[in-house]
Amino acid sequence: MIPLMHSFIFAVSLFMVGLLGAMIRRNFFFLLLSLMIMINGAVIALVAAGAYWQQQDGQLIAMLAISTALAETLVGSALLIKMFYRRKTVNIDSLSDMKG
Amino acid sequence: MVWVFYIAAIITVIASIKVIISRNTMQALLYFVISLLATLMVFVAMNAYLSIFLVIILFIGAVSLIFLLLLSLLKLRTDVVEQNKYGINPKIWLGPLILAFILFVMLIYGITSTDYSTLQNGRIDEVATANLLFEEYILIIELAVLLLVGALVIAYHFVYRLYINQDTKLPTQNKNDSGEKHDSVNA
Repeated sequence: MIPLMHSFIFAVSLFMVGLLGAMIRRNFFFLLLSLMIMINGAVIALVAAGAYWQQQDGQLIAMLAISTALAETLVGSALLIKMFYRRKTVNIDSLSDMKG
Repeated sequence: MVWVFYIAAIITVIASIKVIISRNTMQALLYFVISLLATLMVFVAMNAYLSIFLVIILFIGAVSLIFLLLLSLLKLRTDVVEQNKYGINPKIWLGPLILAFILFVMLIYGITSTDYSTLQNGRIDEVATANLLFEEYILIIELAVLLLVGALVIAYHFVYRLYINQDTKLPTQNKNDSGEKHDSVNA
């Protein structure tokens, strides 16, 4: 039996790695990958809690979280394609530049 | 099976750190897939078998494929502008290969050391869980489907207006046009 504290430490460390990646990278592609890592940590926390108390609810809510991750990937990819066609770059800081 | 959890957790964290510090986009995507595969080993150690199929189908099958499509469509090779020295050299796949080999050895050990006599009275029944999806949690399913349909409509809306209002050529194929537009943006 895995202790619940170790699972949560693992999930929180994974979430912090994703958050660090979202902070230090300016590439939009790596930003999307970091968001996926953060959602992966949240899914691990949900499944670990559900497996510790022997309930099915953790896996069912984890399924909703995975669907949210898929929807976020769709919208983020569309935004990346639109930004690349408009600005010819994937640097997220280029959106802060003024036109005039 | 407890130490499988710890080794898989360490591999997941290491692969995630390699995702956010690597400059090559394909290498980052490979490390991301390795991180998801190590997450599957964590789920095996937790006896959460329904989530394994969901992660395989939705994360590895859909999200990684969308990212791979983005890489091949927009020709994003490296993080910075320089694009020389691109290819399948051992620097790209040697790290993911080592981590995947450790996962493979752990999988072989898990298959050979499982006490199959205790599988008859499993604590979490996957069939009962899957039946619960369509009886008690039907609103969760409908909410997820509505979310995915909304995301599909939004993504189509963005790309549709992009293709209608502008020329459909890639910016890498039209050097002069892209240079003029870039100058007009920076002016």
